[in-house]
Amino acid sequence: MFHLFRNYIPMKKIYMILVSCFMLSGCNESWLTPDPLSFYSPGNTLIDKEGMLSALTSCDRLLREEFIGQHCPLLTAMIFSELCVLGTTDISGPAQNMNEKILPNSNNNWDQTNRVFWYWEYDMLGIRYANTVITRIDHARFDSEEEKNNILGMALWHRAFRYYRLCLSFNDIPAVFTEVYSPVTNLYSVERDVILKRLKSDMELAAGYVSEQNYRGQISKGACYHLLAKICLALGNFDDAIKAAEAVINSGQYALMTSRFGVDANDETKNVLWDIHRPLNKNHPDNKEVLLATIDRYEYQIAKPSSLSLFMRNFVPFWANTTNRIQTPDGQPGMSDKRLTPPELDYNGIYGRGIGRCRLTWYTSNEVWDDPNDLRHAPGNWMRMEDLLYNNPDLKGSPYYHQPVRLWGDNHQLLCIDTLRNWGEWGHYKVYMEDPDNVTATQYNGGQADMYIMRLAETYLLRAEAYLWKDDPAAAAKDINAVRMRAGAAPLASAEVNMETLLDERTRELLYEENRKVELTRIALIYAKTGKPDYRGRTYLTETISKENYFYNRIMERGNFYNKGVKALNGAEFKISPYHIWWPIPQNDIDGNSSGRINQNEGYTGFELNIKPLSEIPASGISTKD
Amino acid sequence: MLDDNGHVIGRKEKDDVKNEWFIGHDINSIWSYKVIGVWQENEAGQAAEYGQRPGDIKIKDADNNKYFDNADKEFLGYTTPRFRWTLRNEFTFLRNWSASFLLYSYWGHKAPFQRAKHFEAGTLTKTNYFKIPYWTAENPTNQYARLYSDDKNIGANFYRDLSFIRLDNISIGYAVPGKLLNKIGLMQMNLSFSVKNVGFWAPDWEFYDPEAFNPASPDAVSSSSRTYTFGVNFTL
Repeated sequence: MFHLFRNYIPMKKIYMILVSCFMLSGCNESWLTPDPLSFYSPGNTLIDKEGMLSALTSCDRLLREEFIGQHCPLLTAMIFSELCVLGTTDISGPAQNMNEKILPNSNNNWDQTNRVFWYWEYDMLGIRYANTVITRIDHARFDSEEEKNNILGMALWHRAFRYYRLCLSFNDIPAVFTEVYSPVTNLYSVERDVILKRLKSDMELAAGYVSEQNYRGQISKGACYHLLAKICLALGNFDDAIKAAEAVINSGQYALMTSRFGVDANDETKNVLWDIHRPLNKNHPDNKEVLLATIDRYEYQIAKPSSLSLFMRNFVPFWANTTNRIQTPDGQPGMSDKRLTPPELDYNGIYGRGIGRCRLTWYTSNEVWDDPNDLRHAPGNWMRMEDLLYNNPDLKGSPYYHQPVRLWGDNHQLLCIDTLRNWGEWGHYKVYMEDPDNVTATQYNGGQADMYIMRLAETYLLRAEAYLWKDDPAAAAKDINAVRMRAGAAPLASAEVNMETLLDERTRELLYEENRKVELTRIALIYAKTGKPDYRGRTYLTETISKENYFYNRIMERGNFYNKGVKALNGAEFKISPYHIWWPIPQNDIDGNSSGRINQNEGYTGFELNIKPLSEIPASGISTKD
Repeated sequence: MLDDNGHVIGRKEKDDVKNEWFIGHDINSIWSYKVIGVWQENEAGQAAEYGQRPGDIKIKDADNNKYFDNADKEFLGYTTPRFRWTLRNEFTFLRNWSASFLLYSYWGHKAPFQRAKHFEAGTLTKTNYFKIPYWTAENPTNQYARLYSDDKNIGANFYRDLSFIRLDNISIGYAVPGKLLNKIGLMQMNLSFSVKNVGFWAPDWEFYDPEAFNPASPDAVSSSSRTYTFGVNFTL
């Protein structure tokens, strides 16, 4: 073969061709400029309604991440409050002693520790997506001005929602209100209230722009006013907050759900509170209460697999734990997480296999419940440990089989050593989320589920709060009672209503839904700004808020872990400090910003290097100094 | 750069602290906290100042401010080998026999030995765990932390030398002599036996194969396989 080839093409010619390849060919530089024929760059994609909506979908998707996965970020927000603590006791990492674990340079976005930096990273990401839409809105073609404004309004909501959360988590932060095209290393922090003021004007605009007819899962007009109400509260503009809340309550679009609806409507053992919190009911057409809920369904797995909520895993006590297990009074293992069939009790499937990451405080599980008729704490909706029966099939023949679980034996011996992780209470009606893929799996952890971001009950409580700040407890009581009476609880007299009862009502209504850290910080901030005395007559100052604040006092006075030297079995002592009202700025991002200065919060290392934050957002939209 | 009187005496590009790239240093330098041992029983008081307990790793606090921050970080070595060498040889002996070997070595690089911290020691009551020494009051080592130790979660580690010499290959060959071949009617026949990945010597590394160590997941079990090959090669 080779011989033939050589006969027809002389070697000399081959050399000539090779040489000419190197000598003669070449190109001018323009040929080297990449010119992809198809490419998802913003310039190609964000040119019309469809492109813009796809960018907004990325923002929508990030919203749900807060509720998803091992140690979801929402849980981290909850442990910085009086609601609960971390119950993990088999490793040293969890954020139980906040003084030791919450550092600017520690790994703060990990299921084994905490998700403080999740908020920093993912809110910045959402802001980036929203900025891309906002900056390019005038370069895209729309069918109408309304269509354009609707999309702009939704993007403004996404940006404001995240900046609001960042401001109330991290205090003074850099401001980026425009699309960024190249690396920026000269950012400066901006005063928190300057950013909040910007958000207020953005949301006033957005509330006018966003359509009443948006699909479920998209930003609604109600969600805009609701967010505006929160921002106004944080700024101390209580009249504007009332106006914004009223725009939702009086819009005619929304109403508190008072009658049965949705997927379990015909199940007579259930009630309306159960219906409100069914994952498939949150965006149900009959649900008039929802202002905004994420959409995350089993059928959408292909779009993003393995995003199980794991809600039961995170929020149900580790009743099945074999370490420091729950025992019968005669010392036998009491519980089994085997997948059992009736008449045996398959608790794994009925309540989910919790691992007790979330341990509610006595306040949340008992003290706060002031009315035995409250459906939110009613048997069937709410679970106490004693509602479980010893279900271990090995106990058959034992007098304890299928008898209620006990914490104390006949001789007052403790039957469960780890009462932090393996013993507790939980809101079954809120944390139970079906997982069709794992109906028979060894661990039933909680599947994909829609999650509430905002609903009307909270709007009522926001207006009530604004009334309280304006010293109008009668009006506040009316709003709080609207929420209470729907749940079957007796109304409060206006003399009973104050900021404490308001926060208690938020606990009862919004447990496992609200970012408690942000809400508590907002109220602590308003106390400092207004100088109003709290329920014990203490007043606070904004200048010393990191040393003395209502946030810390509330946690210490209501919770029962951080305040009295409780130790987990891993040796960690539960501790928190006033300066935790602000989370630390990640050291890594301070370091990366090598030509500017991102300030650190008081109480954390690096605070001494702070310089005065900018008192306005530059016209460029980026908080640099040139 | 400024001198003592504030005059500009030179220019220097900024360090890229976030990526740990420093002017004048190898890009593969390790810049991290220095672990100087393990808190012992009689140091419980000092350990408590850092929120730690006896058995936890003792990190150098250079400026003694009770925080571990960038000011405490040091250059601890390199992640890539400082030199590499290879030695191969082949011998022929007893006329029909041949033998060869291949040795190579990477030398002078380091890696974090995360398992020595026993941060996540598994659930010892019900699962297996690596047999790696650990600190106890009776075994007051400075090389290993206690089980479930608290490492402050800031990325401080025991760094260990990853240097190794590997005997990568040994082969033995035998050419069957002509007299025998005639009897069985073959023109030529060679027998060979070789072992790939015979073994390695890594004086400071004790967690699987140092060459298979993956910096992206330093905790992962990284073993490598050994291959035995027996070959017969004949011509009719």
